[in-house]
Amino acid sequence: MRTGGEDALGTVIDRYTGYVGTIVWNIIGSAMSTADAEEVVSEVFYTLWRNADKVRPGSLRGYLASIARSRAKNKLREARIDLYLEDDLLEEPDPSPEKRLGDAERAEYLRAALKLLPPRDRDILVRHYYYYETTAQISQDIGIPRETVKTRLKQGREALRKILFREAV
Amino acid sequence: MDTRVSDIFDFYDGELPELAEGSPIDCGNVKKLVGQLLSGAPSAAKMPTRRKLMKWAVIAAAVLVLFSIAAFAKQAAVIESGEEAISASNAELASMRKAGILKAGLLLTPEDCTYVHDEKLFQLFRDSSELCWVITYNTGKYSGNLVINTVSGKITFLNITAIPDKGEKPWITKNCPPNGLLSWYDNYGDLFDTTMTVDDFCEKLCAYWGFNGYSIAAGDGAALLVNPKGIYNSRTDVNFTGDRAGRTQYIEVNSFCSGAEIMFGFDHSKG
Repeated sequence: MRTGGEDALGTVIDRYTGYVGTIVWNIIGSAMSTADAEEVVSEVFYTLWRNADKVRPGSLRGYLASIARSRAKNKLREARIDLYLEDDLLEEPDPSPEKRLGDAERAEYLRAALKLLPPRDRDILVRHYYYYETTAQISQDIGIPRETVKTRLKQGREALRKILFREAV
Repeated sequence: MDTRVSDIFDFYDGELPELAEGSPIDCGNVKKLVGQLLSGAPSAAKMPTRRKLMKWAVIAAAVLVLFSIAAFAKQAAVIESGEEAISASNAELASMRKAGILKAGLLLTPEDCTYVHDEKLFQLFRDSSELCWVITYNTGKYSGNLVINTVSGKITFLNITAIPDKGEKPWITKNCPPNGLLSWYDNYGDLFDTTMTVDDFCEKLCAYWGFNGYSIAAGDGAALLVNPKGIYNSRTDVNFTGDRAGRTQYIEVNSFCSGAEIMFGFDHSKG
């Protein structure tokens, strides 16, 4: 993109504003204005521009999603707004300092936990906890009752809890 | 203690499902805002007043002081115990796997580590002696040593031997009196991606260590990291440019009767 210049960035913005905008809106839309959300989305593309050489081929969508989440969550923090997703809390045993998982370990354990789930349940977890889609949206999109979505989220959380915290105490 | 599942997903880097797109975000407005960010010009709607600028200057100065204190504190927040050294090493090994340097699923536990000690022996990123932790480990499948810099938290030396899996066919079997028949294995795939060349590996190490280039002093950069023709791959000396310009680092890949081995790091025998 760096070599393609600002035209290339324009093409990326055309193509991905819908995607990035949806993630940002899912996270801050209930508490902030459209102008705030547009500011966050523009920061996402600006970050991409500054780090274009670090984005691996084929990973652009994932990179944008990750920056979108992080920027939108920061925006809420800056405004001291605390928004809870449905069923977002997981009881974690208080780990001793030496057994507290580092970021890299958390990422690995999360991958391991998600691998244990059937693909459809994994998608539901990612849609809710990564994309911040509501259970009602997920239910509508994939055509299953909302209660079933909630049950599958509960099962997914249980699988996560078992793997993430099994060695924490 | 409660953890938010959505925060755990900050670490998610797997496959992403389709997203039903829908938001009031206007692509034209986003382009305008990105244009302002690119030109460095503040948004007209947000042009600060002189009073606001003064306020920001005071805040910036305060933040600078806080950052300086934090930076000092971070510098001081070194690896202080063996447990921290093991935990930091596991995080770095995971980074190395993510960067494609390693494939080995090596995860250290205190029980696996027979020697964990802080040392001041090696010359590391700069030409000075720096503190580090030395760990000797044996997890059953993997054994070896590693050195992790006490301050930077980077692994600066790593040696891993992977024993072959049960039933794995030997690569070479030789009669070695007085020991009789001995077998060598080419299970390098337990350690790293065997399609990597020396150049591929050096580039990844450069990125990991934060160097801005390298040159091969002995060996062929285009050759595979593992030499399929010989059971012993001679040492490849690599000069990394950057903090260690002109100083040799090295990479060594071997096969022993105990399994395949890779070793790389800063040449403490020369440094």
